[in-house]
Amino acid sequence: MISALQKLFVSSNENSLLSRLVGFFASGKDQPLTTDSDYITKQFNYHRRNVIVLITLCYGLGYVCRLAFNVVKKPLMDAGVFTPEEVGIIGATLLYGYALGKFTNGFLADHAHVGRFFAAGLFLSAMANLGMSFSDLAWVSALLWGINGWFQGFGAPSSVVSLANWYTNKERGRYYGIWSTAHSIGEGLTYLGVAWLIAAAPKGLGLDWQWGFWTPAILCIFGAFLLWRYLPDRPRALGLPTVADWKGDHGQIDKEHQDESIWKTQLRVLAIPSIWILALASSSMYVTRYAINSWGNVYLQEIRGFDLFDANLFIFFNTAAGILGCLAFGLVSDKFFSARRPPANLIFALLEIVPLLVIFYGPQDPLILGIALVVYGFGLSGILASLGGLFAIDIAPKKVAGAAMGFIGIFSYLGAGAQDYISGKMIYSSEIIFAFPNGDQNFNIFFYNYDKPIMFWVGASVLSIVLASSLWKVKAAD
Amino acid sequence: MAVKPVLLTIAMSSLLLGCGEKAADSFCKSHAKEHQLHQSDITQVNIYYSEQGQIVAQIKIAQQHAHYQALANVAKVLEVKADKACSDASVEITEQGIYYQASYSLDCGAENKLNKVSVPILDNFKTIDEVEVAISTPSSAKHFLLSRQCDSPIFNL
Repeated sequence: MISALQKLFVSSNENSLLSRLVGFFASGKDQPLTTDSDYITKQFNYHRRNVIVLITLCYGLGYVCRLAFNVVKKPLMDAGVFTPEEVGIIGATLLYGYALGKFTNGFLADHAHVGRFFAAGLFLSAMANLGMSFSDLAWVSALLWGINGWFQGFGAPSSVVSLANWYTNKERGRYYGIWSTAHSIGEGLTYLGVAWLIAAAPKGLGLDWQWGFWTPAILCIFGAFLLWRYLPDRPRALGLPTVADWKGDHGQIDKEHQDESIWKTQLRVLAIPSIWILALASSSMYVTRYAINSWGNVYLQEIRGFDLFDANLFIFFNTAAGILGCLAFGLVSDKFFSARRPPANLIFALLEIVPLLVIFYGPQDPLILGIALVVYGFGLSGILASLGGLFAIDIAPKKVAGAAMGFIGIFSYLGAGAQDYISGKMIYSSEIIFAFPNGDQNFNIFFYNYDKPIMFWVGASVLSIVLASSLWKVKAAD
Repeated sequence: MAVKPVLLTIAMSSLLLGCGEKAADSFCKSHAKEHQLHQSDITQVNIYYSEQGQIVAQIKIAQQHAHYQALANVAKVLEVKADKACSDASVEITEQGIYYQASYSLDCGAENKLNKVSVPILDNFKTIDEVEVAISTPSSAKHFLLSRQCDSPIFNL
């Protein structure tokens, strides 16, 4: 079977550059099934091991190319390259580019040889990072970083398509959990690794801010090579049976739509009410996630009085705990609830919301704050692994897992982007300036009130779990 | 032959300028730790802003830096900009040894949005080199130093 996408372009002009390009990235034809069961098992074992290692490692490396700008924000402002306002605009373009990328690339990934597709995204993201290191024009950087957001959107759908192609419904939770640790690995590499390169001695190497883009670019080029070389196409394109046939693990089979084209199935995904509810739930949870990522650090310094190092350390603990949260969610939902996500969603949501209340309304003790941030990171990563993709893959037909993921993704990142704007506006509206003029120089001390943003962030989490719990009886599709 | 003195002058000037910058920079970086040694001698400003909209500013300043009349002039010490007008400030000044202890209080109301509080004591009392400030608002508190030698406030005292 040649993909519909390839057909579309090949029919219009057999040898055009575009059709050759599309052909190159398209998933291969279904090959005649191999009958040697030992060979099939060996091939599945080999590729399944490669898939989980590669998508986890390379998605983590990709994160470094996404977050690099966050690390160099302050050096860029200190060096007078960009104003804080310009930095804010550049940062926001990535979120919107990423939302768009997750959606469009989700649809494309279902038709693609994901090894080549993912590799291309990572390579182009590396190029965008290199471009950023040479730009001191705000509009150029905003454009590059927005495009980088779109390139970043190649990774998640490709990974999810690989997970859908190589792991069955019953085991996908565990593997999805392993893959989701990539978020935390990437954030850890960035906030500790890249920050260490840029931070002034003795805490860091004190390299120029450009290294904050060059290093991620080098890592992403390396990741792109690995993906290009080792991430396989679909099992059927390799002459292997589907993983569901190989494992004898089928979900509910929708016989009515079994033979319809991928495009039609993708459009049908949009007509599934559960997907819309899940998209809204994920969007709400992303509000909290990005609120803590974007403003948590500032909140800890502004309101709780921690210095920059300690505030970052707290955020890092929260990120590190996320690795365990992802793994635990997959394991808990697969093993204790027979791959049903809603009960695990509820447990992890409580593990996210209760510490969130402790962080903002609890005792001022740093130890309690630290513990609350760790539990919050654990709970949030678990629930995000589910709402941000795993549950969507369960609900959607497997051959359009990428589209389902993309649909959820665009909602999630639109929520994240809107959150940044709304939180910033709320925080700015509470600003009180204490000014100490000294001739031409002005010492301005800014005070902000986070009461309203905190209610917004916590409320978003509550809304998210209410929406997710409304899908209690929804079952996985095949 | 004339080149050498010129080069030497440039080099010496650069060195001196460089050293000058480094000295100020070094002071600003290290002063937080050394501040305790002279803490009791310098001007101190404490500002409390309550949830009910009360603002109380207390200033402890050596008499050598400020005249009583100047301190009694609220505009030289405190100016508040809010969405709605605040009450006139009441002033109370007492002498404590070589210091004046001045207290200014005004009521802006609980529903009034405070925008800017200016404390122009560095502008109006030119002999002050350094001010230690503590500000408390309903959301947070900050404690820092302002020095004429430094471009930005010194935190983490």
